[in-house]
Amino acid sequence: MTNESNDHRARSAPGTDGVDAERLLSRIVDGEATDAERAEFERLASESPELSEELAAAERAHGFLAGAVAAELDALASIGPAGGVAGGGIGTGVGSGGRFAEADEEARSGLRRRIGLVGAWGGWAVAAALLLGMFLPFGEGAVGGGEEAAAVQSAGFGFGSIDDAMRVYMQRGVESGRVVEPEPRLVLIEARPEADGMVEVRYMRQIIERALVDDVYELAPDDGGVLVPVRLDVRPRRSVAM
Amino acid sequence: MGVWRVVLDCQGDEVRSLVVAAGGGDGEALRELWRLRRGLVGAVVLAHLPRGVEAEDVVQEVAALFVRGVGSIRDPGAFDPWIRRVAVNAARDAGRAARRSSGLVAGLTAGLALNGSVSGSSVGGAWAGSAAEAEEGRRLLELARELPEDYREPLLLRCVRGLSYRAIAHAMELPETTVETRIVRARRMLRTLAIERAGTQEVRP
Repeated sequence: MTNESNDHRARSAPGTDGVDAERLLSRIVDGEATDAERAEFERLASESPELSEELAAAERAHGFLAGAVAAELDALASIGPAGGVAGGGIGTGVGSGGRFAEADEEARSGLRRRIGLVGAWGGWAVAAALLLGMFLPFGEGAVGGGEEAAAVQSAGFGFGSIDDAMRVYMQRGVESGRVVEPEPRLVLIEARPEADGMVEVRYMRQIIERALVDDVYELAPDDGGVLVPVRLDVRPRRSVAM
Repeated sequence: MGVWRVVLDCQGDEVRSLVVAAGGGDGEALRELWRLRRGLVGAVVLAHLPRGVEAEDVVQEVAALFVRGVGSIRDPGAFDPWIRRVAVNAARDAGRAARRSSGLVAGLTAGLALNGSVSGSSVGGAWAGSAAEAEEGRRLLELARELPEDYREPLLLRCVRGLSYRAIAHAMELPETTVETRIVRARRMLRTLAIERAGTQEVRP
């Protein structure tokens, strides 16, 4: 028999040892005690008055701990899925032939939601992205130029700066169809004040690209909660009758 | 103080219905299911959060896996054990990833170590008690993180409003009596730790 079982067995004989009183006290703190158990505790407390003080202290400590946990959980409250993205295949609901553009957009949107989950979050990430986007527009931020430009040029790429290189990449990417959205999203990771009054920001640049592949898999938890590759149910486009 | 109501005992049927609907692509059901269970997820993540990892990052990962995986759940009644396992695995994976990429991650989570808080997130706004009480709560939470995992998790889950022994036992796939015993022992260990750290100051978790 395990020690845990032994602890439990001790509860069957109230008042016979400290373990039982401790368990009763814990059940009262947790609001799990029955009326009979409360009466039993009161009987024990009448024999040992320090038990009432212990109960008060235990309830107070539990309140402190629960308050700290609640505060931590409140800080996480904004995180979660914002859209209906589970189940069903990408493109479900697309009408009959001739609506390729619409289907394309829906499929793109679905892929974005199901794979990247870009924009699927309520909370700090999206808010930070919007804020950064306002103050650090692509190609005009403090990043790039100076030493970076020299480094890029010396590497033989022939671009004036990293921003120039990025601009060329985006332009060619859009022309070739590889880059889907010409405006990358910037997600704030960390902002740290510098001694000279500037603020160093670390951010993630998100660029939506497009590629043609045979199959699409994503990692999803199985029944055991273990991540396994799962083939995405991507419905093929309907052909248009000529 | 924000409210994290996770009343699993009386929400069983509602959760089962939501799991079925969310798995079928109902976005509203998906969001409602997450709302009902985010307290459970958050507490499990806090209980298994490795040092140097942000709770926000792990919860985001759990939410993403929840979205991807809810459609594959065959038994809607087993949602709570499933989402708990997902949360535990995500926290452990985050710990492994953090150890692999020590440089960047250490930089991004510098605030965690400096603040000495559990997740590095703000805790001031939601705490309705005095500053001293809030500080005492944070100190106890720090100590609770030093408890063995088997005892830490049920203790922290019990701190989530509405999570009964029965609900915790269901999520952790343990007998209710085992959960109760672990909570009693966790409190005993926490009390010992608190007394050791505080010297002569008496604290009774």
